[in-house]
Amino acid sequence: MTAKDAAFDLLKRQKDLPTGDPSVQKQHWLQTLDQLMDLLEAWLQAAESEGLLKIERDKWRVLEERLGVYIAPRLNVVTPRGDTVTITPRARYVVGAEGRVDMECPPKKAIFLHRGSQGWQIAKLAQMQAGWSYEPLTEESFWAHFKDLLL
Amino acid sequence: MAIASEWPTPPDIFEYYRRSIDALTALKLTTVGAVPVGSRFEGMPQDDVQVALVNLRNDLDQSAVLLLVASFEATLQVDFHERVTRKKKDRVSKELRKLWYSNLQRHGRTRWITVEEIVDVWRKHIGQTVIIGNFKQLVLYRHWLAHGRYWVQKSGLLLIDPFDAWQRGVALFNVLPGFQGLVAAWQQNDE
Repeated sequence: MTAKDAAFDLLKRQKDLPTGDPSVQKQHWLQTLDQLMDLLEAWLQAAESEGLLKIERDKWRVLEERLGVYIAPRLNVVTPRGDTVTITPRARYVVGAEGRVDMECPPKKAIFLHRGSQGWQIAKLAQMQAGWSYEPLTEESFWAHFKDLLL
Repeated sequence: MAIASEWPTPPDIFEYYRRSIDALTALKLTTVGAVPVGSRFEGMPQDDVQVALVNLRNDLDQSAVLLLVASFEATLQVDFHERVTRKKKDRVSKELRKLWYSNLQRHGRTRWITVEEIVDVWRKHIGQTVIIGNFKQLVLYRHWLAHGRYWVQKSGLLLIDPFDAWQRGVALFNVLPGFQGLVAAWQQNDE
């Protein structure tokens, strides 16, 4: 690849990214969140239809330095024991990713990270080492982490 | 100043963090059944237990952030003192020694070289202003935690938990020449 081709490639990739305009970024982030919540809700509905979970989608106020205050979708999932698992958008701007959503059932937590065109990953506190381990967000990995939160 | 033979490293802090989460999980399970007589949780409504667990987890997260950033600082400070005492010849070491001697001349031994000053020297040599800026924000946040949170926190960070702190520390150590293997060593399974 020539230097010109490489430069063109870089510029094309930049063009594909959302603009730096905060309102456009916010809009893009909210669309991404809506898609994620739709996906998770669809996975959870199988359990809801069997009466195993109650799912409620509500709104959550997020404050970010760069985007200001915005209202984002949140999922609250209640188990038969009365535990509530919340799936809450935390921030668009995070180090190393393009957005973060937390799935929590205190005191446990799993973290969803948006990796741009590569989609979502789940970060889990590593069991035997420093840091977190990552895996792609799939229906299988979602249910594995969901179950882990309840144990 | 004599450097200690060992100090808490990120793997030590993660072990503490995991054990503490396990302990909170055990507490949660206990509150579903029978709690010891006289426990603060005896007779507590489940909703209040949930709030208590959220608060305990948040406090744990802040403690872990404090410990983790202190450990990052220790790594940078120990490296700094090695560069000063061993008189290494590379440009960063020379610059750090200059910082050390100029501080000594101005303040004697009464003033510490801060971690912010150390990373500023690194920034002059390697650039990486975003990564180093992110780390300095984290240090500001740590100061706020360490000194009692009595002032309005102005690091620019609204959400900091151990995950964010780890990401910022890892990003820094991955770009500092001579530190690249460190993160991998911290992440190795040593059990």
